[in-house]
Amino acid sequence: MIKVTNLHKTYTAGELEVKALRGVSLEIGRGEFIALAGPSGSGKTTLLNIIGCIDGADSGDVKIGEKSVMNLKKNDQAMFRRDNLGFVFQSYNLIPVLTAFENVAFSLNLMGIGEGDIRERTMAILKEVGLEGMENRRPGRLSGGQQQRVAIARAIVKNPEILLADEPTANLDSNTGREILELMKRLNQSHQSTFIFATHDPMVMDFADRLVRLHDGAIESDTRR
Amino acid sequence: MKLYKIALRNISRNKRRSGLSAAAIAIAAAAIVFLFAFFAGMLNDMRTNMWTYLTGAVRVRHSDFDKYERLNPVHLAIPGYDALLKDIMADPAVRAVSPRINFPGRVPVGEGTEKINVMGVGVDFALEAKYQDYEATLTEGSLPRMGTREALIGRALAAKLDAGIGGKFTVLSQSGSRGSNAYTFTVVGILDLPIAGLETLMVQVPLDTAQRFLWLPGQVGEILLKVDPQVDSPEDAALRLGKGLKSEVPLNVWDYKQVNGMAAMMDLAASIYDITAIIFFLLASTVIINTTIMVIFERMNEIGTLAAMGMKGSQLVRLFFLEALFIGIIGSLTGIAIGMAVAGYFGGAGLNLFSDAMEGMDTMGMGSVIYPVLNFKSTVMVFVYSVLVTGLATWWPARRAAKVTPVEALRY
Ligand SMILES: Nc1ncnc2c1ncn2[C@@H]1O[C@H](COP(=O)(O)OP(=O)(O)OP(=O)(O)O)[C@@H](O)[C@H]1O
Ligand SMILES: [Mg+2]
Repeated sequence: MIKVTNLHKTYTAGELEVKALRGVSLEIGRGEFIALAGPSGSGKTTLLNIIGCIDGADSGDVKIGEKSVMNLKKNDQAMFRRDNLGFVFQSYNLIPVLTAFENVAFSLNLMGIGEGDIRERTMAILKEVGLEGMENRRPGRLSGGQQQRVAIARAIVKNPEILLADEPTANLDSNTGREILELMKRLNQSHQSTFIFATHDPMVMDFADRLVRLHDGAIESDTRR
Repeated sequence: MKLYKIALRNISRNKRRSGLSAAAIAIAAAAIVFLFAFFAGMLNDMRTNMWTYLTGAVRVRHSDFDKYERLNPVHLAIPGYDALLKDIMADPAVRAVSPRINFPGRVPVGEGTEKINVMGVGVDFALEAKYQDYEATLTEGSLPRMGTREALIGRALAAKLDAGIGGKFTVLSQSGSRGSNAYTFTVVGILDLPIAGLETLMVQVPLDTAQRFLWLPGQVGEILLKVDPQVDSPEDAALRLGKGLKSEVPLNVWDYKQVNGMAAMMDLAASIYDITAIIFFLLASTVIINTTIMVIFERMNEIGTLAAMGMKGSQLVRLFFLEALFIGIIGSLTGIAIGMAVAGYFGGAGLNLFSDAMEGMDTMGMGSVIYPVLNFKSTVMVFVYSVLVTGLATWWPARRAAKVTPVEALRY
């Protein structure tokens, strides 16, 4: 379903060349709950961003479904992300001027879905992530864990093919992190989206069905359980 | 959640910065409103004064008069002007006429060794009462009776002559047959004229008396007329009359811009005001460009998030554009309101900038007290341009939001 073939990416920072990815190939099936692990600088984020169509590679290919997404034009890429991908970030990245409800609804708004439908789906997902009654709060009045729930709701409400999460638990204490992971696991099952994590967090690795370890921009191991 | 709603909320995110942008555009708009109103008032005033005292909207003269004007060719007059007046009055644009004889003269004062210059004008007071605003200017005394040697003089001249109502003075002048003549006039009225320069010179006497004085029976030196600009511009009226009028002598029918080159210069002055307005707008733009750049950098991470969510570059630009546009609208409305209030106040009270500085100067018909006038250009157009300028000044830095890639933006 996702087919990554021989990805290479090199960053040049002045004189310095950093090979962030050196020939990564990977296939991910529909509905997988997969963690990309590895030491800092091993290329987890880089790989996640390229799969998420927010970054490009020097060579190689990424196919999502039947579509090769690497060479899409900027606008087509944006539309592809809008319709197929959801993102969860380490620091939640909610829009501060929007309420919890509006943050979630906005991702449906962008898709041009009707207001009535948006309302129904947004309320349902907020309930599903356990934020019933907090719809009208702005991010500033929510805890980190609650904010991350809103972010997850925002990503999953559109039933994306893939939900990409870069260190989603890194800013949370371990209890909250666990709750968030349990929530994501449930959503993974109920929404049939593929979840891909980039993480250091052993707890995330525990939750994952499949663990891909990166080292120096290459896949070191790939284990399922 | 419509984009404009988010944009509206974003305005209050950094109130000081939004306020700064709004203030910049407000100050520019207020200054420009006042400037334009001031200029329009000045122009109006100059036009009114020129039309009334100097050039008319259109002036009819013997066509050789202007050629020899320096020599004071009093004899190059227009005979049989009664018929001409009828033809002129029949023109649809003409509102008032003033047949005149101008005669520069000298008035001996004191022991008679010193003489002061005066500008004598013979007018038909019946027609003139419709041509000049005596209700405003004739502040003391009354109009002279035709056929008499009664005169109106400017207040400043009255002071120089040390003559009040009932005072007498003698004017020496050159007649139509190039001889000299002297008449003694009695002051029956004092004029407070809007042009300081004129007030020290102006002597108005009955037209028929002037004709006798200058030996020009049945003739006038010129006919000034006022037109209704709603019906026709002075230019068009002058052209039409120039073709249509019939007279024993060749006539020049000129609009006031042809008569007075300075009047034509006012078009140039207008463009200087426009340039000043542009400079104000440029200054305001730099503030807006600056704040927009700051706002965009500050929200770069958010731009990355929105881009990752699938917002297109054009939508991102629109988000910032709308925010600034609202600020621009608020700012320019505020500024225009302030500008209008100030211009409106001085429009009533008058702005006395020049009266001392311009005493005795040729001010091209500009009065010493300016009454700013608000019009379409100084209100609606200023609003349109303020909003346009804000839009441009925002759009330019806002494109950055579309250019940056999502990962780059998310790294901030
Ligand atoms: N914009 C960039 N410019 C230069 N080098 C970069 C850039 N982004 C990443 N790198 C380098 O590329 C390599 C891979 O980075 P990446 O962020 O993918 O690692 P990571 O596995 O996510 O690390 P971490 O666990 O610290 O998040 C690193 O050596 C990093 O320094
Ligand atoms: Mg990383």
